[in-house]
Amino acid sequence: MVDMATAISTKNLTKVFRTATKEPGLKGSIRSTFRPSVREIHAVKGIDLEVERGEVVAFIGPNGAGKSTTIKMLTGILYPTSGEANVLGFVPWRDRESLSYKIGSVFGQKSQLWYHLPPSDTFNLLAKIYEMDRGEYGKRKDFLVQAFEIGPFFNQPVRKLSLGQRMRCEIAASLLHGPEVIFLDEPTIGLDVVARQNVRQTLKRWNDEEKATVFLTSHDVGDIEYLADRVIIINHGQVVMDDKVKNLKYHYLNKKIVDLRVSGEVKLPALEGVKIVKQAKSGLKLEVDTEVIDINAAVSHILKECEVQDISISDRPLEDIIAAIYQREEVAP
Amino acid sequence: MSTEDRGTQDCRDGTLADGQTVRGLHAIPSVQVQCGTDVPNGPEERGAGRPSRPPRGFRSYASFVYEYMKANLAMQMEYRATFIGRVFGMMLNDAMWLSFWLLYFARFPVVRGWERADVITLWAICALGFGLCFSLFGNISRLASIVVRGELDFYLTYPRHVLLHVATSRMDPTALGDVAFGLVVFFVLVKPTVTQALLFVLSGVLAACIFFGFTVVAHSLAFVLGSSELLSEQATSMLIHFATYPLGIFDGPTKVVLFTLIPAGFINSIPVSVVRGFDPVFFAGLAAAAVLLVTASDRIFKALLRKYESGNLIQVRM
Repeated sequence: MVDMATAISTKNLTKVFRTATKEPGLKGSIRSTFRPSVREIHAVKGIDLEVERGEVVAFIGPNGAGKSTTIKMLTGILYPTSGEANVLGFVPWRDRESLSYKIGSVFGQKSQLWYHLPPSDTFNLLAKIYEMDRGEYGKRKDFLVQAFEIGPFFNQPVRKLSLGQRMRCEIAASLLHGPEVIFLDEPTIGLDVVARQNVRQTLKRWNDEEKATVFLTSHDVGDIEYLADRVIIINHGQVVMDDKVKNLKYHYLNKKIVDLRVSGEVKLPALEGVKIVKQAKSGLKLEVDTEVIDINAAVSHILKECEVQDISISDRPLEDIIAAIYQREEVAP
Repeated sequence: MSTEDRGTQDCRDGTLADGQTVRGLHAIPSVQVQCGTDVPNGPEERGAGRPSRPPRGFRSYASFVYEYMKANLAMQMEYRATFIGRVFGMMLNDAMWLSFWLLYFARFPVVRGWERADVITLWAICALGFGLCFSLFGNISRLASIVVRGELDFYLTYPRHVLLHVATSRMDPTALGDVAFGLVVFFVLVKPTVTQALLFVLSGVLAACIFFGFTVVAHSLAFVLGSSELLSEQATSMLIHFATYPLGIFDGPTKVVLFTLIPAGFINSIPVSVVRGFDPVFFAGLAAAAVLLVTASDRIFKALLRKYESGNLIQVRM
């Protein structure tokens, strides 16, 4: 029985790719012709997921962790080697066509817009693909054009658009049929800071209103912080962490960054739990391990030893936290 | 109300400035929504009115193919001179080949029962069949490459028959030159009766089915063999080459191959016989071969799709 509150669920989802291997050089090529050797790559190793309807989940991990393979199984592109998956009550690879009406996907590296035609032509084509009636299509298109602010270039060939403009059109196109779940695979890849911010804000506004389920993969921590409620970290094909974004920060914020502007020469004696990250003529950046020393004690000590003009205490950037989790898993997969 | 005025109405909380209710998505705070629209409401209503089951109707698919044809043509028309050049270039190319045969038949009027009009009919049917197939379903000539490069992902995310979607999403503009060549040559040089003209068009359509089925099967090898683009292209080229020679010049075992492994006999022999003098058995054989090949190609493609491994190349729809 499928829980109606659950948008995505997987049980022991596994994907193994078999790939031919050979020794280097011509000799290896000849040998592999007669005695081919095949290696199994376990891209996804028994993943269990549960995503509620309306949740915005960041599904992240280092390159080769199995993110895209998982998304491809959830969208029906790939058949799994074993395990189960259910998306909106459908088994993706079995009910692919029916499921496609209910989900949308944006692959940042794969364009669905026709390069030589304006986005408007692709939208017309998509309306036919999804069998939208004319009235419904017109309303939906008008809304998306306004919401994503793509009107000024909606009738220009895609080849003449900037990457940011193109990506906004890509996302709008993937929402044309009103999907209930949207898979965003690196939606801000290659965009500059302004375009990235623009795409994020548009997605956020859209999701606040539509309450759709979003399954997002990105290497950009800004995307995760801005959009996601929950983060699932995958490495070596396995889920290594599944928590709310705010919890992730809370649990891993045992280190604080203290930035100081000081006058005069800085002579800070060694103190357990306090590490100098960077030192300049009139500035100092310290990392305080709050498991070793209380932040108040550390600051009091610093104020005693230096003539501080300005001080700021900040959390460790989320990017560092995620990198630390990746590295930890690299060491002990 | 001017368009500009309408476009700047504030649609917060689902209510337009002029009191209209925006049902749906659609009332994004701080987003200026084009007013006067009535859009579907909430997740449960999104997608309402559209089928939750795969579309299966002929009409739905005919309209889908037609829309792709329009988009393909529009895309080609972005570069009109190149497009027109390629169409005429192919007509010229076909004409050159046919002219060799015409010179040959000027010297030897009958070759194993084949006459000048038969070879013209053969070339016309072959060109029409090939042209129809690749102008409508031009992407099948890239199918192996699409499989190997992981480009099927795109098609698999839409609620459409994957093979048909892949096939229709690109046209080969030179194939339109083949269609034009086939029609012009047949109607100008053969001067057919109405029945012959009808049989010619029908035979062309069935030949197109044979080109389609064979090409899809040849390219589906990529699911099993990996990088087999060249092999698939060679197989398709073989069919084209054998299809443009009169079957009469081949003997025994070769003829068997041409009605089985490389089904060129269904393009270069049977349609010519059908057009020359209608034989229901021959026509039924041709139709059966066409239906069988298209059905088999669809089944094979679908079965092998399980082996698809996707890929991570950066892709743009050209």
